[in-house]
Amino acid sequence: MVDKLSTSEFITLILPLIIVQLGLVIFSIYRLSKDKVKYFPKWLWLLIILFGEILGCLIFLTIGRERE
Amino acid sequence: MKTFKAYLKKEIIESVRQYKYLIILIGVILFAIVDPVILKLLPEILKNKIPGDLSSLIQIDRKAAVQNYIKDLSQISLLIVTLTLMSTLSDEISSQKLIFPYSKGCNLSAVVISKILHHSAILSIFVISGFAINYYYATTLFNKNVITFDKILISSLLMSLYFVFIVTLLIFFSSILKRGIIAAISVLVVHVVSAILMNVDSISKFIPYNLILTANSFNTDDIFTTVLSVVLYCIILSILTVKMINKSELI
Amino acid sequence: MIKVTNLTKKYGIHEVLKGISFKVEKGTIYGLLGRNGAGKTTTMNILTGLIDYDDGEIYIDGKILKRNNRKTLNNIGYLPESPAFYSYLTAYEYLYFIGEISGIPYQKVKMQVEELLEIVKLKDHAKKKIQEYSRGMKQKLGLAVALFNNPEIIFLDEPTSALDPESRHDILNLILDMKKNGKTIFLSTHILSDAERVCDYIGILDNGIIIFSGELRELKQKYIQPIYDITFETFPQNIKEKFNNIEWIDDIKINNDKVSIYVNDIERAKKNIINEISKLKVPVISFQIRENNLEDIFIRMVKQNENI
Ligand SMILES: Nc1ncnc2c1ncn2[C@@H]1O[C@H](COP(=O)(O)OP(=O)(O)OP(=O)(O)O)[C@@H](O)[C@H]1O
Ligand SMILES: [Mg+2]
Repeated sequence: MVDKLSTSEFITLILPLIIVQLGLVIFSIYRLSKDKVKYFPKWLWLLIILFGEILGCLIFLTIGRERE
Repeated sequence: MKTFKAYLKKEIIESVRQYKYLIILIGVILFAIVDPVILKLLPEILKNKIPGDLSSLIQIDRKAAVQNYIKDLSQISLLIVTLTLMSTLSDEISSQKLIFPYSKGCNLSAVVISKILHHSAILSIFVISGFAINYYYATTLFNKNVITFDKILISSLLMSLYFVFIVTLLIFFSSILKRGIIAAISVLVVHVVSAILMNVDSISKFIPYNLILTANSFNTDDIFTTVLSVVLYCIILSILTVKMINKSELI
Repeated sequence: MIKVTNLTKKYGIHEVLKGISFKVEKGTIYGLLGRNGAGKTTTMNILTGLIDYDDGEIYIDGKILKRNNRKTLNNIGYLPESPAFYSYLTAYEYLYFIGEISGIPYQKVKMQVEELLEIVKLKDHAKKKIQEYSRGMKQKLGLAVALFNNPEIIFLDEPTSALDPESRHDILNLILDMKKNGKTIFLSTHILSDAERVCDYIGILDNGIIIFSGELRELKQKYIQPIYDITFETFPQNIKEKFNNIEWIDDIKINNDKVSIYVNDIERAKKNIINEISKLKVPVISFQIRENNLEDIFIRMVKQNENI
């Protein structure tokens, strides 16, 4: 509980973020390879996932996939 | 009751298999971690660009970490939740999924109620967890401007209630509008308009958006009227939705 | 069991059903025929309480189906023309879900699920998600759902449209079995040979009105137009000229060495046809009377309706 954190402590704190980020990107790419997509072609969705990071993944998962 | 139980189970399976839980969970909890971390890194990032003492320009402390989270919850998270749940009811009707259950005697009111309760419960759990995580990060990274946990808890409850209101409103719109995306846009319009209406003092107490402002200010002395009104709105909206679905054509 | 009088349904200004009336007796199979867009599905959706109607009266099992406040029996069987499921569920999960809604005890649900999957031959695929099903498989599953909890009235909208010949045969037999168990079945179809096989009563819907409703037998008698099929050893060249001016003959169609004679007065034809043929002095290999099948009748009736 101090203002100055050591680097290792800081990394521990943002570790969940990194894991979520990586997991989500991999998961989104997996879904992208299997599902039918809407609105954009697949390659564009891939770019959105890779560069949009977590938000890009969420947008893809919510509106980018054909549900049926 | 049998319909209620069957649909509750179905909602849970649906939310798992269509990744709704995953999306909402990340959409709600992400900023609980991101906001405090970014706030912590901000001085480092801006050190070379802005001369002088940064802390005189931006507030960097525990309170700010929580307030940033509340801001993001009421913007990006709200958008994600709305988009994820927008066709929960309209889709059942437009894609004719209710025909079989209806021909076997399902109770349409119970379908609506199970949806409202399920989504409300899930959102409340996620939002409260989000606040808990945010509180942990805020206290670990900052030590100035302490806010006690009970204040955070109350804020999280107020935000949950706001999300419950949004979901109920979304399901209501979804019962009168054929397309989910239009229901989602209508909800967002209501959200923005009610934020603007907060400037009118005489009615501000009765506007749901007051929940967000109160949660953000941690000053909850005067919240009772608002909470009561919002609960009332939710009940009225639920009743209207039940009425609508029983009247509407199921195809 | 089902009684409909003067049923009217409008979509905007487009009047789809212009006051149709018919009756379906308990324990019989009623087939509704009509072209694409005739209003068959609309009729089914109204009878099952899914959509509202504009005018008329509907009684189902003695209970009135009100306008604006539809409340059907709480257990009917309805197989819509393109059945929609929660397709992320497996067939098992979906049937158990339907079972839970029906409110019957778990043990009974289990028994029925096994039994129904056996009947529609989907047991091997029951653990697959429904989104992976073909159209025919969905139709079979839909039938299983429709038959769940043993409903007294069963509505089937084109129950055989997506099925392969073998499954079609099975399903038609299943429909006949259900009749034997005293069920009332209301079905629509385009496949007239199917209707001919299973239906006791037929209704023909065209342009929003019922142009015929009654027993299939009666329909056939009314529209009987016997056709004689005759095969000659050598083809009689002059047959057209010779037979053309006989007044009880409507038309002569020649197909290779087979001649079909369409007759309009059956009694006179019976008495005279042999005589007329013998006048041709050509050896006859076969001589046969053929009746119009439902398909011929259907096309003729619909054409007639158009001319009015
Ligand atoms: N929701 C709707 N809105 C407007 N018109 C409709 C609607 N549903 C059906 N119709 C119209 O009603 C008429 C009857 O349609 P219906 O689906 O009942 O035909 P059908 O006899 O079942 O045809 P098919 O053999 O192709 O299944 C059609 O002209 C159709 O265009
Ligand atoms: Mg149809």
